Amino acid sequence: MVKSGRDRNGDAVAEQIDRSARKLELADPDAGLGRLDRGINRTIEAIGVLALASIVLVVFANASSRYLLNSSFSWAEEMVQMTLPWLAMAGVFLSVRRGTVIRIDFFFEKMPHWIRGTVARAVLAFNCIVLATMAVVSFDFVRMFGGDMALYVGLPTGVSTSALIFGAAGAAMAYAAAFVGAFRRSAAGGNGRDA
Amino acid sequence: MTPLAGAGLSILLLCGLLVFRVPMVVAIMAVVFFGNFMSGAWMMTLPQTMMSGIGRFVLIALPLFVLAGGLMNAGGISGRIFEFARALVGAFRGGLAHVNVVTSMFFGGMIGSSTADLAGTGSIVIPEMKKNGYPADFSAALTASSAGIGPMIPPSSPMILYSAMTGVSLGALFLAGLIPGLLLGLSQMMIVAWLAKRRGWKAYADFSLDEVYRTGRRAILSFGMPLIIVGGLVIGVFTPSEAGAFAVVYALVLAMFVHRVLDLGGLYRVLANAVQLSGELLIIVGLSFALGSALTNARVPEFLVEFIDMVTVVDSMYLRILALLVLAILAGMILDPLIPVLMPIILPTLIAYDVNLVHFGVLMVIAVVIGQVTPPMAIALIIAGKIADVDQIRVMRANTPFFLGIVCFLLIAIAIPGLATWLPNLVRN
Repeated sequence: MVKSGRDRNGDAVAEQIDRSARKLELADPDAGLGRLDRGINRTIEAIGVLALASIVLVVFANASSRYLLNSSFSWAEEMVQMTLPWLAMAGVFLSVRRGTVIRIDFFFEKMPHWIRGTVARAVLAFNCIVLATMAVVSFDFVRMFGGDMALYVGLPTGVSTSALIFGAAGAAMAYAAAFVGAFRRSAAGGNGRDA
Repeated sequence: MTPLAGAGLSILLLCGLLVFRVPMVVAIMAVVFFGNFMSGAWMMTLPQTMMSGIGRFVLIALPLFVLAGGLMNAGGISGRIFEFARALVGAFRGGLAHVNVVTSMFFGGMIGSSTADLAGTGSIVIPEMKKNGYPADFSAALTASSAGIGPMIPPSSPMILYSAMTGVSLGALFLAGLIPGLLLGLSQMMIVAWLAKRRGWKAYADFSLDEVYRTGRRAILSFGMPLIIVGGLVIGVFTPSEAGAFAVVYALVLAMFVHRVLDLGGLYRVLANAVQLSGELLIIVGLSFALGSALTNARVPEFLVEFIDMVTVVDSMYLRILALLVLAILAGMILDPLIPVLMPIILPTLIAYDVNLVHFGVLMVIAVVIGQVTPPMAIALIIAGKIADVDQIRVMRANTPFFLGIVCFLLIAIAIPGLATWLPNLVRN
């Protein structure tokens, strides 16, 4: 079949769309970061990836086994529910570190230029305090209830709930580091508003 | 201080923190701590309620569908879908604009993320539309509005969140969104056809059955994904979470072994992206349960019922639903994600009014879509405007016909609940 010029152009557009979608999905989110920062992000990423891959495998294997072997794993649902907090906390930590955390920029961008740096630093300090409080409260929570045993998996529930401590403490430390960085930049003459 | 005044103060604090660019996760956490402190409640109710929120089994579907969408996006389906859409509707007057809408409809059934549609497909289609003589502001407005179809068609992240917050069957919600999603796409095509006739836009491709067959054959495996999800739920083979796991495996096989465009390194990156994208949403859902519980204790839902009864002068269920949706749309202009934050506040009100929660779920998703194209946030319009390199105000003005279209569509969907409830009822019976 001979294609018209318009159709050939359409094919080229389809190829470009494919390339753009793949580039978007496969881009390195840590490009340009130092070795330490990359190392931290990659470690947490690995925990999250392990959690997600386990969830996929367990849910898929459980459903397949139910249809193929007429039996399912009694521990599957509980195990997946215990893994989910680790995935969630890894995701939050990465969002904080990579600056993709959900927030509203609109009003901040409308603020007078001179005040933005101060607001940004105050917000970083506030985030750090709230998350550190969450880590402390979660620590008490795990200390009090973490010894309860999960019914089917046979592990203490603290294995799952301790994700709250690590996630909140990690995000608090990330904000503390960002605050120190913004403060230093401000002292050196910048406004630190890109924090 | 009365509990209601305390709750009002908490809501004000939440808005204030968000205005100052405090991340949503931290803002909700701070408000719950503040509420607990003011009411003398036990601080440990926060991690306790949060864990029970995250532990909802239906939420497992969220990272699974996000992962499946990422695999499909990286697995070379976008170009195939575009080709097929071009073969189907490219010959219409204003062909490329129609192709844009149809691509978004197909995309919604496979990826379910309007941002992926906008940033991936939009970054190529908008310049192509400009090259073909469409005004830049119109190109951006259409791409932003059509990307909103994705959240209506299963698998839809807002519907997973709604199901987790309300306990409504996710399968029923997925089915309920199908017909409204397709109708929303058709309504946008009608607007495009009207504008194309007025402005003399040309066709984008010649129609040929051979081309439909060729591109359809190349794209057919991509359509296996919505088939697994919808088919599996209709027949009752899968729970939604299991449908998510099967969708992941299907997308993985397609990307790695059929299209052969994804290696192990790429797979790892897609997994990591899914962790980052879904992790924060899961925490927001968990925190929203804690927020909802604090506001319910402060009798906010009762106040809301009284308020709605006061503003809806006539005793009509439709007016009450409309009043709640106006509230949702107003909140959606600022809040994203809207559903986890708003649902704990209005769910008791919906139950008090005996509103069909499946119907309302679809209406809420339309409200979310409206929020994405309504200032001041208008995230979809902002992204599309940046791609088109055109002033935001012009994009918003060019979006007027699509905005009016979706508002009319919302009113029709309120008036005719069957649009949403017919398919799930049919399957259930």
